[in-house]
Amino acid sequence: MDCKHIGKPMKRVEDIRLTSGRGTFIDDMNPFPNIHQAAILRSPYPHARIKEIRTEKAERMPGVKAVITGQDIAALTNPFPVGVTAPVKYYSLAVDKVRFVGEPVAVVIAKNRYLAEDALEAIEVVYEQLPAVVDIEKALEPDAPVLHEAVGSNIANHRHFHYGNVDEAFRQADLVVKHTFFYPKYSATPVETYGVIAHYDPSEQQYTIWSNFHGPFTLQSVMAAALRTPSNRLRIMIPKDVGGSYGIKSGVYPYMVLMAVASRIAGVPVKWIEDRQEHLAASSSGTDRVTWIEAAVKRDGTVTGLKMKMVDNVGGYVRAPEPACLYRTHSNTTGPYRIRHLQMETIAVMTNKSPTGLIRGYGGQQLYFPLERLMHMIAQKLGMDPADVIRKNLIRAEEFPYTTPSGGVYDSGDYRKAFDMLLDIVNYDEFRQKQKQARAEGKYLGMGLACIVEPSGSNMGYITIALTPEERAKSLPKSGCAEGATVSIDPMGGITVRISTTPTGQGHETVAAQIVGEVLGVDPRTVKVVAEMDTLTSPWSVASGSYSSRFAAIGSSAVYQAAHKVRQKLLHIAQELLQVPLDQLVLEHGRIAVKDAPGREISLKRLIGSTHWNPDVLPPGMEPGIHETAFYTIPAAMPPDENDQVNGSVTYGFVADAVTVEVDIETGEVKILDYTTVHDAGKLLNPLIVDGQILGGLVHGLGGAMYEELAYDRNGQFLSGSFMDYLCPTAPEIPPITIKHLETPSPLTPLGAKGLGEGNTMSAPAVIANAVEDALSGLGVTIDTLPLSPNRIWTLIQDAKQKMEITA
Amino acid sequence: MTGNGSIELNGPIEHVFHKLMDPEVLTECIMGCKSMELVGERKYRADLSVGIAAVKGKYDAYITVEEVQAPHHFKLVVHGEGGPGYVDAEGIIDLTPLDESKTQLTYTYQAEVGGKVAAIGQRMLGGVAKLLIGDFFKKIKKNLERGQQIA
Amino acid sequence: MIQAAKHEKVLVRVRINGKLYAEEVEPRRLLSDFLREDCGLTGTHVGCEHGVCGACTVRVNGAAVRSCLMFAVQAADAEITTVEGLSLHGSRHPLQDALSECHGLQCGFCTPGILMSAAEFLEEHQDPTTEQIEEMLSGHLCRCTGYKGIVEAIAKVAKEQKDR
Repeated sequence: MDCKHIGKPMKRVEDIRLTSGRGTFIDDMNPFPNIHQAAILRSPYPHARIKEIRTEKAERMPGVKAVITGQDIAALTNPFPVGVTAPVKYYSLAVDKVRFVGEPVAVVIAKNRYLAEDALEAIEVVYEQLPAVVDIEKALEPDAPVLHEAVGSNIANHRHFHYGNVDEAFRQADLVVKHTFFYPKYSATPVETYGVIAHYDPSEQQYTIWSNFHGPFTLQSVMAAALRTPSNRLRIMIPKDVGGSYGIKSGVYPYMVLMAVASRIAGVPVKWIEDRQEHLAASSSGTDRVTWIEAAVKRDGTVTGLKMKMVDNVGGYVRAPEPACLYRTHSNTTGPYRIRHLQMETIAVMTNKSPTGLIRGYGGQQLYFPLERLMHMIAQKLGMDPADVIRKNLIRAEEFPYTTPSGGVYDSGDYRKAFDMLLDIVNYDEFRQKQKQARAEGKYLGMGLACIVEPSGSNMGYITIALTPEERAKSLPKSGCAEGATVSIDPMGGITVRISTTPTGQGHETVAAQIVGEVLGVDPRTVKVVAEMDTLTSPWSVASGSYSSRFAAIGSSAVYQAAHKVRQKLLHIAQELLQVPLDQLVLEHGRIAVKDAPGREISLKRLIGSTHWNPDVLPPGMEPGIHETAFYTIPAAMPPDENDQVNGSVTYGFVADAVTVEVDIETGEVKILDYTTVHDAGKLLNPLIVDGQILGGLVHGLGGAMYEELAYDRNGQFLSGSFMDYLCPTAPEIPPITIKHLETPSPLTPLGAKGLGEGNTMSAPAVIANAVEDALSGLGVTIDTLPLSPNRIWTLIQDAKQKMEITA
Repeated sequence: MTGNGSIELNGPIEHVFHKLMDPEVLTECIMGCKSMELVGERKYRADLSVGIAAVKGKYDAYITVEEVQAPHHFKLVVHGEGGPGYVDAEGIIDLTPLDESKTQLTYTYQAEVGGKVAAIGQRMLGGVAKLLIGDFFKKIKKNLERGQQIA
Repeated sequence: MIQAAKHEKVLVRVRINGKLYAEEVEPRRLLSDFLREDCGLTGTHVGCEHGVCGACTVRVNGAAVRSCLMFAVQAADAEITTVEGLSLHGSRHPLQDALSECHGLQCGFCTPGILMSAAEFLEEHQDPTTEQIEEMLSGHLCRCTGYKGIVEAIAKVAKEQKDR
């Protein structure tokens, strides 16, 4: 397709307002009169019973309108529904127990935040401390402290999966390689924290909530159920500017419900802007995970089977959409490899840490860290080069579309080509020489490789794989990834687009304008895209929102189809007026003309005008006005079948990374010398935005690998409560990065685009860990946990040294 | 966090022990202690104002004296709660006479800190605890010396 | 020196982006909240309230400072420039356009703070190295862009400055 606008690096339309300080973020808004501010009292204990809460002193303080406690919440809301059978009751305020440090216990509504926080100090809470547990393996032990008595244990979800013939594969193996890996809990800490402005109108029994929430909008039903309200009396509105999220703001919904009830009780609109300490302690995060992984391997490096046990720590409450963290990557568990026999055991365990949710990469980094590390270990055991082991197992180009043992359907790809491109760019063979030389000079250089499949466009059905086929059969099947968009043109020819993809910095307004401009033959800068979302007026469905990198594959396709409906309408009107068959007409340069008949044309303005000002000339049966909505979904998004096979995402990209590091063995410091990534995301819609997304995702992965951890001590005390201890990468930490693209278009989407932006978040931790282990090869150090802090690396080196001295 | 230490105090063992049991002396010597009142058998309530890193605040503290074996040994149990968080601490104090006018005091303590002050001031806590406890015993020592001068 | 009781309000007079503001505020009111809520200038953003993320950076008497670490009363009688003042009289600051051309922003939340720091930096550095730019940027957290586009934008404007 030869495009004028799609695929071009058009400057973003959002930039003018954002560089002028004229963005409208949630805290900039005052949509109601008499807005009061909320402050939240939070538990200092990881696990305790609430014996008593005394609020009289706080209620009498200056400017205070109301003080809300768990009893108020239990009276006006239901526990949040969640997709597991374990009877976990999660409310937006602690009711009888607190289960993590930072859990909300009471809310003060006052004239301003300062006065509200003053009143927090006057609330008296009597706690009865209980023993806490934060370690995943300890929480599974029979005598572990139990968080939810009704559940009886700390297990929120537990499933077994068996595909192919794993036992046979392991029987026939020449070698079995196994290891246990630990993945840490960390967040993505957008610079803008959670924000909610809630208003309850008793005369209409209407809740209106503004928030920087971004879906998935399955959670609207969860909120409506909690508020015991019909869904059309819960109006959720999202501002057009959201200060980053990377999945984290999906978890704002319990606070939306909390502030909605607070507004109802206090009788005034309530605004709550989370502060950074609250955000680190009690917003949302990725899960920490322990993975036991075993591979059945042939002497030539072929991996024939995998056994994996994955235990995710979902925190004090299993909160929707968890335990999706375990299942988002279900379909691509075998990554880019042709492994046909797969056994999985998945467990979601609850401990006294903050509840988890969506995060950039969602399950990918936790999956690929053990998988890619294991591929390197297999190479070590066989005395082969890791690149050869990887290449041997990669899915071949002619095997696409490729169905994985767990039901994933990889739509397109040329993995070997991309991998060979990568090795070529980094001069892989030469590196080994360089490495030898460096070691002789006492320098520890290493190179790591990682190849991963990047799923995008989540199929809502995948979440039900948390249930057994029998449990699933009890309710309606779930599937689909639908997104809606509306393209309309007003009487004066102004083109407007409404999207429901709630962008958080990805430039949806720009790409949507490029698409509509392309389809309607107009300058994209004349197209107005409305990115605000309103559940009462936007075209949306359960899968709407921005998550799982779905805009390029799905969101853009909805815009494309809606624009095409408008285009077809205009062509039909022109056909009627010019009395010429459709295939003789071209739409370009602001008019529809007859091919090879100069002068026979009608301007778009006139065509549009006729639909409003003179509908009499329209073809018989055609409606006046121009207002077309399209809902787009991909048929590949089907419900899981009775064999627990599911295609969890609709499009699959490929990312191959190579990283070189130098490790200072005296201090344990890891320096990343360079990072190269070859990236296949199908057709690229705006190269400027694409590279920005890749870089951003990469730096999130780098942060997880090197610096970020939401740390708790073994008693459940939260330790990284500010940015002084929770370290995010800054400009000097970024290594030189090379990005190269390969485009194998998706056959499933109208523009051939696949989602992107999460790939390197999933691969960076694995590739950097591989590089560090490679740098330290021969020292007896095994990297099986993160982050790669100097403290940790140094200790590993010392411990290995001691061990070697003992055995020597 | 845990810690221990020892200090030589001027005064015979019974005198030193008596001083350590005196709430007025304790109020004077505990850093940030505004007041202390007896609320039960060997149980005191105190208002403490302490600052650790950026987190300053008031703590409502209960101090109990346990395992009293006069004049050699006792245990202090402290539970403080306030805006910045909470503290649960235990200190064991042992006195040994060095001669009729000097006493050796050895102490061990363990403390658990929670809430905001733990989340933000984590790196400081060990050092601050040492500081507060060291300061307390220094002040006790001075108090005893002053008492001797007057005598 | 100003002395005031905790809840007593103080009149703070400041010139922001060339315009005079006079508001009565509590002594403990942060400059960031004062700018955003009392003066209605919401371009300055708050990301951490402990001086690490840099989103709240404004220029007070020319110097780039964290407005979350200052009280409004401390800025009395000062000349403050916020991001809204960068494109005064209709013409945009070269940094604003350079950031867009180099795709140095995505969500835009950290952008105002970076613009203010970078504006000061470019006034003081005629020919900065990449290391110097990164060093200055180390006081700003961006979680969207990976910083590359921001560094490029600042380097671009520095070069244009030098060539002029």
